Amino acid sequence: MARKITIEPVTRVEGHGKVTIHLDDEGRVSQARFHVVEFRGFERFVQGRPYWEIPVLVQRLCGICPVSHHLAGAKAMDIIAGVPPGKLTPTAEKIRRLMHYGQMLQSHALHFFHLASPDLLFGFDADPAVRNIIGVAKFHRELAVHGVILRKFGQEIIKATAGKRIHGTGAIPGGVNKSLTPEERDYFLKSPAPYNIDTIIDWAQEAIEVFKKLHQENKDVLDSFAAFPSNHLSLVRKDGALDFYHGVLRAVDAEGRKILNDVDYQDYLKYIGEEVRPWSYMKFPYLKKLGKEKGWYRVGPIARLNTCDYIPSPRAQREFEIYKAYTGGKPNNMTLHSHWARLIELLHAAEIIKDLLNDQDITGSKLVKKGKKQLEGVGLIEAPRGTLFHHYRINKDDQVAMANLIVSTTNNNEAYNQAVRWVADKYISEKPEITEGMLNRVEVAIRAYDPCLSCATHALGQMPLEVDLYDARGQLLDSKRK
Amino acid sequence: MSKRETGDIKILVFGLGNPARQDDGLGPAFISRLEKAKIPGLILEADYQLLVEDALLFSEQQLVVVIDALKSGKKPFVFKKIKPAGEASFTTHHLSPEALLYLTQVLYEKNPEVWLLGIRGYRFSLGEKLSPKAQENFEAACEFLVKVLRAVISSGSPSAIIDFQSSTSSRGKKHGAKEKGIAGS
Repeated sequence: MARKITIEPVTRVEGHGKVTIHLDDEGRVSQARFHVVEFRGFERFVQGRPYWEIPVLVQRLCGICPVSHHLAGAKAMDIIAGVPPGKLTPTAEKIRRLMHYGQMLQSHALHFFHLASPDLLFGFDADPAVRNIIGVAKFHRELAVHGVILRKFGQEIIKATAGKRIHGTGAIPGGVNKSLTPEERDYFLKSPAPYNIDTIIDWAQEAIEVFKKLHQENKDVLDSFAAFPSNHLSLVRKDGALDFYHGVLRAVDAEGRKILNDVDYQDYLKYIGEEVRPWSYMKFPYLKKLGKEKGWYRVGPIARLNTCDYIPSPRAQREFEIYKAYTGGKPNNMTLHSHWARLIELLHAAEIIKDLLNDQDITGSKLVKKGKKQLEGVGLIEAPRGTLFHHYRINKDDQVAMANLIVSTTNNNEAYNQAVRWVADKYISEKPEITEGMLNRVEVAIRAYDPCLSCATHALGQMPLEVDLYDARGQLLDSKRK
Repeated sequence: MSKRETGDIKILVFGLGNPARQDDGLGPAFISRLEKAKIPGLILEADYQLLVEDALLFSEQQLVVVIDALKSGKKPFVFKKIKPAGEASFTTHHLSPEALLYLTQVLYEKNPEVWLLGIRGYRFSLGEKLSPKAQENFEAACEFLVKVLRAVISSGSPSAIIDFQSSTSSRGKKHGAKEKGIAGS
């Protein structure tokens, strides 16, 4: 009897996602899809607003990475304000970078220590009552504390540069509205352990060692789980270095051949198309050069380490060399290695934060530049989850007339579907019942990309896990909720 | 970075929600109101959700009041003491107050008193204004909590909440403090 399995919403990811797996009469998977069930509508929401409000307004898109939207919006507004990339004052650019790398630090720490590590430490089949942050706190207390402090440090960097915990106003069109005081800088450099950047760097390094140990112990699973070849896209610095804040667009295929060779992201519409499919509110971006069928790509940590040539900080570069050697220098297509890549980026972010804190420009006073106003601008940034596009046009009254956003989770849309299909084929086909372990494997595959689906509405009592099982006629056979 | 003004008791008031989602912004709106009220001795924070690092912030308090929107329930607002809960019935891009209190105890061996003020909201789509009914509930909840906070600050102890509840309940103004569950949860 044909069955339909629904998992809604996915736990431990932000927002409301739904997975449906259709089984045929023989119980084999006939279709597996990852849906987004909520329409964002944010592009319309910002129309008519004055362009200078955008960097603050777009932070309300997302409760998890508001800084990414803040900075991508600000970069687009720089162009509209007539201050193109590279023309900000050194203080403005470095303060923005400090803010962004602070966010990268706290976001990657949250993902590894509190979202991914329960699956890796306890195993996919462990009791769900243990396989969560509470379990990590009880049985791996030091690791949990490290995660808390790393996040806290990143949050404090954001507060110091953006002015507030959320809805900061740090970046404005053409610059920033504050730099660091010497006292703020010294707090991060010289506070007693663990609240100083040297401790943070050491702990980031230790986190990589934790992953490596887990990898040694679980190599088969971590190498094979939900692994599939794909294209990869990200910003890279003009010289090919890893850069989260600015650069050119590069895409490579599963073998490392360049598809996009360091192009200007202001022209992204020449290279990136967006396909609409009737069953999802989330679009499916693709590289026009390869077409809809073959042009889908991954973004995020694994993609960034596949596109860049090197990492411009010494400890992260050493780890990058080990990471690259594991695949013989070829792109890494192993989905769960995204955790490894994420931790190398965590270390890199910490190293760059230290460099920026020791740079006297971050206490400078030249904050803003002005230029000749333009009517259109694109801002691109590497958000923790991957490449984030913000594109705006304004009218003669300085109001936003058009906005197009491609968020990281949208860029990874097809990758989610590929991952779900992989798990469904391997673990759900021809099985007599839906087990907790099977469901969690679907979630593990999605979670590797750390999707962020909602606009952060989360009123109390909204996030149960529901599992519904239907037969071919649409009859509900089974329903599970946790 | 938040600064404590005066007062002997350490109190954190934490508003949760997204102001771009209509009534989901009840929590942050509450914090804006308290900032204007300038009640001495409070740490005020607003965010989209509680996250793991807030365990550290919780650990430094004697009293925490978490304010969030409710999606169902008949009362304008409910006020409930939180018990720590270590179960996995939460997502970890955000944590429930119960789970965060549990983490605070496990990680930092501290046990602040945590109360949840849930305010009934009705509209949660994109938009920046509270719905009229939610605004009414907001005003009632504000009036209530400000009195509670003043009572706690005056006495120097979180136990003043129970005394305040008892005195208002004897006058027929009970606000769900003794209910087993919070509406909408």
